[in-house]
Amino acid sequence: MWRATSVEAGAGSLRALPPFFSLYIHVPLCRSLCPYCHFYRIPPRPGDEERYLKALCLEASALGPKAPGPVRTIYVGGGTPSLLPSSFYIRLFSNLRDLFVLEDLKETTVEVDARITKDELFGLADAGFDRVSIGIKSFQKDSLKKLGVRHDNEKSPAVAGWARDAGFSSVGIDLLYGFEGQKMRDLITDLETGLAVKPDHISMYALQECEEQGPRELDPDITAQMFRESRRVLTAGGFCQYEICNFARPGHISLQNLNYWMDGDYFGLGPSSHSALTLGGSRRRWANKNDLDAYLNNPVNVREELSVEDSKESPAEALILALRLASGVDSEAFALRYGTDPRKLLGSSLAEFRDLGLLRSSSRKIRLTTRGMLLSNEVFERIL
Amino acid sequence: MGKNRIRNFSIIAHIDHGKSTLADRILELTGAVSKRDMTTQILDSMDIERERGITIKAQTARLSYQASDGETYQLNLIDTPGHVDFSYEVSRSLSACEGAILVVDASQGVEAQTIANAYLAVEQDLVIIPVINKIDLPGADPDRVRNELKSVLGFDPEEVIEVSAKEGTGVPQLLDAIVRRIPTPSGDPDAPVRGFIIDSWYDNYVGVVSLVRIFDGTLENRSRLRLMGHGGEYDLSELGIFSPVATPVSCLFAGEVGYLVTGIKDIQVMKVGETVTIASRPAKEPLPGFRTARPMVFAGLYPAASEDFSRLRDALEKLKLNDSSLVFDPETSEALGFGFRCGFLGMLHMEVVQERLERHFELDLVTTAPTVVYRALARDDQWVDVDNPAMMPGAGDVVEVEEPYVRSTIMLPDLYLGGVLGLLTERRGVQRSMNYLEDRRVILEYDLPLAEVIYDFYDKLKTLSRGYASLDYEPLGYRSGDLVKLELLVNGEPVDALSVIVPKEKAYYRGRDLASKMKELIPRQMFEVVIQAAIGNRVIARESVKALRKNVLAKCYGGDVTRKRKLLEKQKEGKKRMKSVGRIQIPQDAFMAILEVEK
Ligand SMILES: Nc1nc2c(ncn2[C@@H]2O[C@H](COP(=O)(O)OP(=O)(O)OP(=O)(O)O)[C@@H](O)[C@H]2O)c(=O)[nH]1
Ligand SMILES: [Mg+2]
Repeated sequence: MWRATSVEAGAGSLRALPPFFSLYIHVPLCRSLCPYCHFYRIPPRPGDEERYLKALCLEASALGPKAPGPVRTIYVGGGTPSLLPSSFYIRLFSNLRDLFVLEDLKETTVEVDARITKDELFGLADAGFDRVSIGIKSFQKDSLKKLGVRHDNEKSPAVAGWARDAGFSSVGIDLLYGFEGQKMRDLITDLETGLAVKPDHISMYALQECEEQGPRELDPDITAQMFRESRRVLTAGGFCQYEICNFARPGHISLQNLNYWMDGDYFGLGPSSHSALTLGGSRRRWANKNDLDAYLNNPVNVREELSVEDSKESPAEALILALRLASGVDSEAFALRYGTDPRKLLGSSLAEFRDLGLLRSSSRKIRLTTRGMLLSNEVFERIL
Repeated sequence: MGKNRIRNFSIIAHIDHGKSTLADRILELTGAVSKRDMTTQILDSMDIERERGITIKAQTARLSYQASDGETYQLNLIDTPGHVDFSYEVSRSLSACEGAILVVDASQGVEAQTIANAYLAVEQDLVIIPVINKIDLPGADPDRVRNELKSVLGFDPEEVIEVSAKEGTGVPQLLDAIVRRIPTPSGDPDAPVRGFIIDSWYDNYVGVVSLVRIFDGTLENRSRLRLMGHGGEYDLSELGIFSPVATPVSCLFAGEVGYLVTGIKDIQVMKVGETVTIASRPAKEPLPGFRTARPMVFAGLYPAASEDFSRLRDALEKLKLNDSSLVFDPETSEALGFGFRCGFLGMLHMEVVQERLERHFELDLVTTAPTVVYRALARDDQWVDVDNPAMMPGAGDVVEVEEPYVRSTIMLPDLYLGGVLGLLTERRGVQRSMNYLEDRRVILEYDLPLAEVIYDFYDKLKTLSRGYASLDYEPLGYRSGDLVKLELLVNGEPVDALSVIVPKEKAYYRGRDLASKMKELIPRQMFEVVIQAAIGNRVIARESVKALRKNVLAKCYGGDVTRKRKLLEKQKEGKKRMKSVGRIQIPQDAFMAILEVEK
């Protein structure tokens, strides 16, 4: 079986594989606010760009000295990072280079929307990004309409090709499914179009309702079928599901994401970004407030301490994260790192979940089955 | 004050006809409460009474009243509750009085409890003063009500007094009538003391306080009391009257009503109906006793969190200090764990107890469906009381099952007769009588199984009659019935707390409805849940809750682990609020849902 660990182990680098240290930069700007999106974002205002760059650099200079080691991956997400010009990122990276060790970078990802131009993609590649994630959502006008997206998408099948032309070594797309009005046929069309544009990475996100407005979720039973169908089509198309929502061609797993799931350290920069750091045996998590103006005014003072976990509690969280990976959890490695056997964390639930067909376990490995992935919250709840 | 200046009376009426408001006016007119301190229904002092605008506990007040003859009289007023659950409060209040004010709403007229309460007063040989209240209402029709009082209860139209308790009109005339018509208490002030305990409650500072009516002799403070029923002897530590605030006195004379305190901690010792006398000079015979209020409705009360069991026990014990009609015994349920089987006077009483437990004791409760007490004759010729359907012996082990019946009185405009008769038939009622009054009103007397009455009967009756029908009922004893135990099984396991006893002819429909209601309420689980309704080994209905197929969080928001965790914790919290039967999670409200099943 294909395994994450065997693919990414590049020769010559010491810690090519998570857990390691990553940076996340949040760009909270969006031209139009899509009603299905839960992320913090606001429409861009004149003057924000310059102030934002300054603020990010300020925050970075405060965090830099606390970095636990060299940065292995950088991910710029949003929002719509592609709303900022490549010059922004060139200046940002040159600043970051002074504050963090960036020499061992394995992956630098940027999220872009489907309306991006060819020139912009070339610009981003020039700025130093080697990986791009294109927010396609759907290739079909009708589906986008159901999602409440107003702009057209005629160009979106072309974007992946441009990205490759621009020199990105990994091109990813993401698709949404499980929204009201979507038919299985629509999903399959999206999957087929998705395969046809030849990306390296595909994220499949089931819609999650926002409380007040926006598109509604489909009947969960149908969404479950769609999940299975996606897995079937993408696997047949040469992709491997390495995490509940993520599929990659061999060699193209997102290391940044892998680092989250493998409970690595990361600093988030920008409003609403999250950070995690293990220091002296305790695991700290903090987040910046969802408030751009507050951030612009004082970027080092919008932090909210979320939790300081003593070593007792963090294994549960770590196990929940790790079980999202298709390769599952290696009991021995886990026990070595957290001092607890994951079987013990699951207790009697392990046998119950195995009987119900949610988990598979061998002498060393525990992993979710496809059914287990679909019911992962039921499993995770017991671990807490 | 000589006892010829004492007047003891209760105010009785159908629910909401204005008893407590009339008491307010009387308190005000006699100066017991100044206008400034006056609130509405001042005697309804419990929070739940005030919120719901109803009287639950009878309250007394001693007033001093200067009548038109220039003399000052001592009036002992008892305001009684109108709701049928608390009718025993009316009976025991009446037993301390020589007279009763029967209040009738001028727009509603005579209603079922008007009649029932009037009869209670007649049984005790009391003088009744009929009063038409709310004459200020635009819809008031005192002439019609006068006629009804005459035709239904035989009152002479001349003796009826018209008042507006709200505005105070007619209340002075009423007070005069009280003085003139209600007889002075009989009883010999020099005979050995005989005092009748009307009510007892627990006070945090002094212990049990008892309301007492002195029938014979003179009770002096500091005497040594003997309880003629219980047998114990206790020293009186305080004697007093309510005017309406507690005011100590040195003695209570024959004919007077007051309170006494002995330092007893347990109200079961000072039972309602007890006769107290003086140990040094005891009376020969106790006063005729009083039947203690028997609970009619039983339900299981369980703490939502099992660790709250002992808190629930403490809370019930505290409530019982003040509510002798509440009974409870520990019980266990496979589905609900450790809890109590509690007996109540009726559904309102049950609601009040539940509300107090939840509010005053901050308990989160799961309640099973209320049931009546069945009697089953087992093969070994022994009768057993069954206050929990799960405990009903299996069909093979029972020779006969009996259920409690009530005699109900229903008054309604004949316009709605068709629908109401239909309801009564559906509820297995047996007609005793049907009489037409003037104004196209009808009085029905029906014998009904109590089980058919306790839950939604009154609401249905009100709906079918657009609010015009009124209901009263009293226990009638047990009758044999063709009854079966209907069990609910989830994945083959019977859920004890969901058993019900139903008439055989309705079992099939009830079973089907119950199963489909459960299907609605039981959330999808990680496996299919099969719900069956069965009588003995025979399955009469089957439903299934499909296995849950998807419960997954899509995105890991840029490393936002905390949010994910919170969502999972919320989910977990939600499950904690459910009860598990084997591996199946059943939400708490499912245990009450049996009731919502259309009968
Ligand atoms: N208009 C009018 N309303 C009245 C009069 N007397 C009472 N009410 C209203 O009737 C309602 C019931 O009054 P209560 O005094 O609580 O009646 P009750 O008989 O004590 O009720 P229970 O104790 O629950 O049986 C209240 O809303 C009163 O304000 C009256 O003379 N005129
Ligand atoms: Mg009242």
